[in-house]
Amino acid sequence: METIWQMTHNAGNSINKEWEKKVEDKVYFLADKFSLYQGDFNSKKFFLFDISDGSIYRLNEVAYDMLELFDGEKKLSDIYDILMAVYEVETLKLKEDLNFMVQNWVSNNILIEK
Amino acid sequence: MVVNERKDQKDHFYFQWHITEECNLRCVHCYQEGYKVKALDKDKLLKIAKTMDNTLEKWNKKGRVSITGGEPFLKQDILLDLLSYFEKSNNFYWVGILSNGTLIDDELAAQLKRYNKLKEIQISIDGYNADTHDKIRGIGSFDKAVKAIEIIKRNKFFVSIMFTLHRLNVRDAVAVMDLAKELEIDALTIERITPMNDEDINNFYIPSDELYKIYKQIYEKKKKVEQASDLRVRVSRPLWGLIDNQLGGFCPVGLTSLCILNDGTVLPCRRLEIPVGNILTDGLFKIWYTSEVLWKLRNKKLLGGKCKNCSILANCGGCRAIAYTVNGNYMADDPQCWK
Repeated sequence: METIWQMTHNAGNSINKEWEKKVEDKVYFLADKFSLYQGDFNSKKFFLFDISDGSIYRLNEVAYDMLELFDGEKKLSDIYDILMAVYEVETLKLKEDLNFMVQNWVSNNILIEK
Repeated sequence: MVVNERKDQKDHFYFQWHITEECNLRCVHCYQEGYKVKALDKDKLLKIAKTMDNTLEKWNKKGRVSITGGEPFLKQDILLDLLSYFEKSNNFYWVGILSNGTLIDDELAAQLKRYNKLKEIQISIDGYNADTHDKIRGIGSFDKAVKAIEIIKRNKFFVSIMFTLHRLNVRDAVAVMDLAKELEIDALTIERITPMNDEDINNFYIPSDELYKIYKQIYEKKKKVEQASDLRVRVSRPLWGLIDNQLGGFCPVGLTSLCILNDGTVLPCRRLEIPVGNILTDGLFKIWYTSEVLWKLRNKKLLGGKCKNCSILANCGGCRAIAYTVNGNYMADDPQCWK
């Protein structure tokens, strides 16, 4: 089973600043073939299911929280704001991490641009 | 549902597949509502088999499938095609056929012998003798079923009997073990009926105090008959753990099993009539990963009533289907529990 974090490592560590600016207004949604699942309150189990080929990706809680926010309504900048309110992290660092993951999720067809 | 083989269950997956709704009997307790729905053609049935196969491949699970109906031998050609498919599959290791036994003859038995993965043929017997059985299944059906058992025994198949316990045959529940022994049956499953509606509850439902008494009698007889013969009496379903903590088990519904109907509709269990999708249009991954019903069934913490804090929860959990019919809530407690 491949984790989302492992998947992101393949995308490299540099963030394209121009890309970052452009994407802040973009809206994404989870591709139809994926389904997010959170276990019950105590289990702390988070999964991303590919319902087309049956693959199961174990997520950590942060990745789950992030992916859940991509509802086809919120802009990426809205998502930054929500996450900033939840996690104690520097704005720049959070943007860098989220952009990095969004790039990866888009390239893996997990997130689709609206 | 055949649920006796619990070892290493996490690596296994069980399908109960009703390939046709057509039946030559009209049993009074049957959960089927219609008998005339046109069966899917061979291509669609093979597509279903392939979808099940691919799912097991992806999950790396060992598959078991019981093919039933209606009466599966009414679709003999298709049935043989499906047996051929499963014979070649790398993922299915066990195939069973659940039948009323009225259509089995020597010629058919000889054909069935070609399939090494056909491990068990189960015949429904609902009474110790023709009197009880035929009242439930129709005149002449007992003799035909017994004859079928003799034929398939002669052809060296593993033969089991399914005895569906309800108000009309409760007096035969102990004696049917003698019949099974006499017929040299390999395994006898005694399962309480799952009523599907209020009419069924009125006609067939056994109240908990009465069920307790009959389970105790079955248990005592089971010990004797198993000592005296090779017959195994399967009592693997919920509530049996209250009789003896070595018996019973948590139902695999939502965890390691699914039921597929003749039109591809998928149910958590044949008795729990809540459709969770259609294998032909949704595939199994979507159903398995996204069905709210299945996710709830998997979560023991969501069980209600007395099941929730029961000391034998891990080995019981009650029957979700009976809870659904009687209480209208599949996570409610099992209404037949006497604890």
